[in-house]
Amino acid sequence: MMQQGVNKAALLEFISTASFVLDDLRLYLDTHPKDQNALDMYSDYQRIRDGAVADYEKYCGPLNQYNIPEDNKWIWVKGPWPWQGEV
Amino acid sequence: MSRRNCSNNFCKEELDRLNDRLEVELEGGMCRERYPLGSAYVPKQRWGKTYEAGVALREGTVFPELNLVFCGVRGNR
Repeated sequence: MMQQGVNKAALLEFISTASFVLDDLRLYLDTHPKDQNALDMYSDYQRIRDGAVADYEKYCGPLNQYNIPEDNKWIWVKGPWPWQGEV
Repeated sequence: MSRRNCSNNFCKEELDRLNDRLEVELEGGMCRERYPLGSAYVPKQRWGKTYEAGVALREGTVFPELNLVFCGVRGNR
């Protein structure tokens, strides 16, 4: 679970949580596109999520196939496989 | 978690009371003048309180006012 001092599972859960908030706010913004309160909260959580994703990808590997670092392609083969019981 | 809003569990008297009240509001209120018949309307949500992120994920919504008890199963809890 711990990898270079980073709690991978906790970080992933944090990203999932922030992602959900953004998903639900996006639904609200579909019908209230100019609601400043919603826009403010959206950008707050976007910033929070971006930071967490950057941390995750720096320490744990890419979260999706679009965010593969140029200098370290194909690193996901080095991580645990789903059946190995981690994250 | 209360299931009082689940129509399956509504007692007959409770349903009758609700229907009566709705009838009164429809007949006596301005609904008939303001809205055409035969159409359904959804009140537009206004910005209000929001849950803390972890609670939002657990409850399935950011908005407490949308966290209603619907019929049937509510997750596995």
